[in-house]
Amino acid sequence: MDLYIWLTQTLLPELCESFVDPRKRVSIIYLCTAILLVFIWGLTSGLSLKSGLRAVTAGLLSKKILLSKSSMGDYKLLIINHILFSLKAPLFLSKAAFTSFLFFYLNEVFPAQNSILSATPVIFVTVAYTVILFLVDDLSRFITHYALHRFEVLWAFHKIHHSAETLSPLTVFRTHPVEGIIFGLRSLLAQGIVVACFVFFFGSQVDLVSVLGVNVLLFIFNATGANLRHSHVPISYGKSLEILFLSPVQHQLHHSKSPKHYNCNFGVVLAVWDKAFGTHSSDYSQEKLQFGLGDQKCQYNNTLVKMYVYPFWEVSEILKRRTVDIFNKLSKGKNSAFQ
Amino acid sequence: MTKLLNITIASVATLGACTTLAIGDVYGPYPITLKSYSGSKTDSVAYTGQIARHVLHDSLKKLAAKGNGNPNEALKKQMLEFYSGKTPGRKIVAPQSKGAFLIKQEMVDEISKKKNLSGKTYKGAITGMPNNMSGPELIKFWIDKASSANRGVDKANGYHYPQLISKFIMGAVSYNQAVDNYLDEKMTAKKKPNNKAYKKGAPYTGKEHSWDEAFGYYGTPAHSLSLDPKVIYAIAKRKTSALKHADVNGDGKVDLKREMVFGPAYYAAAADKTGRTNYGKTITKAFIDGRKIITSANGKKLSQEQLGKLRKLASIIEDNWEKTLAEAVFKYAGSCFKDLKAIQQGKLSAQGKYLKHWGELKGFSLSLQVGRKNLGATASKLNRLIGVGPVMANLSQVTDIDSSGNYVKSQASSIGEYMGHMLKVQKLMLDKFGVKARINDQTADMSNMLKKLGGGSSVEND
Repeated sequence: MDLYIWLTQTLLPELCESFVDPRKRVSIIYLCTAILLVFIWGLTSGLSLKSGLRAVTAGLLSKKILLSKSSMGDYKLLIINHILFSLKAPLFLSKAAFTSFLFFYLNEVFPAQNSILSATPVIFVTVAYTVILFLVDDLSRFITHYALHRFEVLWAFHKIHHSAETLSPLTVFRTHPVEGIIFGLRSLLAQGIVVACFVFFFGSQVDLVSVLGVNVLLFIFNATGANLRHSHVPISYGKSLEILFLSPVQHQLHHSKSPKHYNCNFGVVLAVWDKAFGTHSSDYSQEKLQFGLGDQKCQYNNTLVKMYVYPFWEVSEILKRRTVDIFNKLSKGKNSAFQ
Repeated sequence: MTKLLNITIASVATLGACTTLAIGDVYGPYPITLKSYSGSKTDSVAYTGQIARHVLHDSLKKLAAKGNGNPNEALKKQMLEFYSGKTPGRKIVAPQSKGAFLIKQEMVDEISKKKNLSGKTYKGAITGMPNNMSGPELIKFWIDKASSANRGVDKANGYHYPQLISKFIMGAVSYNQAVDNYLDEKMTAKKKPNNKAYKKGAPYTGKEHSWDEAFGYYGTPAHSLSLDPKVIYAIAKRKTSALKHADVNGDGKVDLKREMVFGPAYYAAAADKTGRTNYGKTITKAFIDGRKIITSANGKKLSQEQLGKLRKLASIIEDNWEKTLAEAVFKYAGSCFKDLKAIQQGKLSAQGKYLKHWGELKGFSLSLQVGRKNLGATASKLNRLIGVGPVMANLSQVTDIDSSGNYVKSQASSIGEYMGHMLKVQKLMLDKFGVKARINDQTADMSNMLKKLGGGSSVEND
């Protein structure tokens, strides 16, 4: 009975909340604008009304995508991760605690600077806070994502996300819990640092330029194509705009199973980080992309237990291999010293 | 005979009024249980001495704001009469009737005779101020300064004497006497036993009266358990709308002895109004429960089990009372932070509020340190953060008092740094006392901003 109450009164409402909360990427508002965008994209690409609708169906709402084995894996991970994080969330360091800690640390280190800029016009503070929060958040996402690909141990967990062979907006939830913790820490650091610094220097006048309670810049991103990043609709923004913003097709390129597309386009909203790190790519040409892990062995088969457990086994193998390497190097060093 | 008749009428009227309240919701009247008593009284409850001291405190606070900026010996003498004098004929300066909110008593002696505050002020050294002054010495020092300050405020040094005197007395007299004397020492088996009169000829036992006196120091109406914190707050403010709630015996006047709200209960209600705490009801209920235990002993010595229960209730009272003081420190540290920010932005009109709030902050912070417990490092930290005087707009700050009683000032580094101290005071109250009402929380802005950014348990990938 308790389980039933928990399911109906806690789990389900919380899950449903993800689809109505405008702060979430998969909010119904953004899903609707994504559908509209695909339709408009179809029409502007010279398709008829009927073909435009077909494009929406084929790239976003097709049964083949939504009921594929890969998508089923996404759904399973969404539900189980949600349960896991609901239960374990109180154990993690809260954003409020970290931000307060940082705020008091700033008071300790720069005691004379508290609220020193509080006379700054509110409009300036609001715009600056909105932009800086957005930039820091986007950069931290890029760095985290880059690290998830760059380091073998982290890649073992991030591979779960890349094992998706069909992409739907819900693929955004295809995440290993360890990765979830990393994302949580990233958000804690990025938001905590910006909020603490702004309140410290500007006082309580700090506010966000927002639409429906969401950072206006993030709202624009979510409403204009965030959900199409994980889809089969190859919308591009055109080469010139893609220098600044990553288009959905560029992220699809990031998911491509073809080795020539590996390790590109790690950014979320802005393309400038990829440009700066030399990982930017607009090489989507006309070929139809295929998604997944490509030549790497896919060990998970979208099975929940495998998706959760296999990365740990892989990490243990990596660590074993590294230990052996270190041991061998040390042995070689000793031998050469005696020669 | 007339006196006896008055008491009987009052008791009957109170009993009649109490019929509208749930049985047990009111502190008294309680029957006489003392076996050796042969008088005619029927109620063993008495805490008029404590109410008289609340009135002396309120009056002293009012008088402290009467100065005109020049040395005024007459005012000083009058203030000392309310602090350390016992002379008959003292007219109540505060609380007085306000509009339709009529107060029954006009003279202190109508409540209790020969009472003063100095005899009941904490005698230990006050480490939060220079020169190791004892409680009474510090109050007399402030009385002297207040008598020559304009409306009690020393704008050059930043002292608001009415607030300093008032908030410190709330701790050094009421809180200290209740938790360190009546609910502590006098709740042991040996002291003031329940099978003997508190004093010769009294109609109450040692334990009954000790408990009653502690209740009296809390300063809440006997029927306050049935009142909402907002109403309790309004009674203290003497709002006309609150008269019907205070005047429980329906005589059209508020009896200071049983129907009025004083300092400690007022500040508990201030926190409870937020809906996040329940200090007032918790304290009052513990007092009523404790008195019932003592009454149930029917004039016999209390058993170890009964004493144990009383100690538990005393501990509840002490914890909650301490928290109300910590909440007040938290609140006024936040007020000072806001005032300083306004001053930093060039709004010098905030200076007046700042000095008032700082006086409240300092007074309450010292009050917090004169309870039964030694706060140790917490007290040192609190005193260091708040300092001896407030940091003024010109960055001057009193740091010492010389042997002639003159203030010694030095230069603080910045207003921003002192604002940081105010935030640390709030954090200290949060960490050490677990304050929950958190009025004027200056870190709440950050929590609200983070809430706006969202979070939750969904794990989104890129």
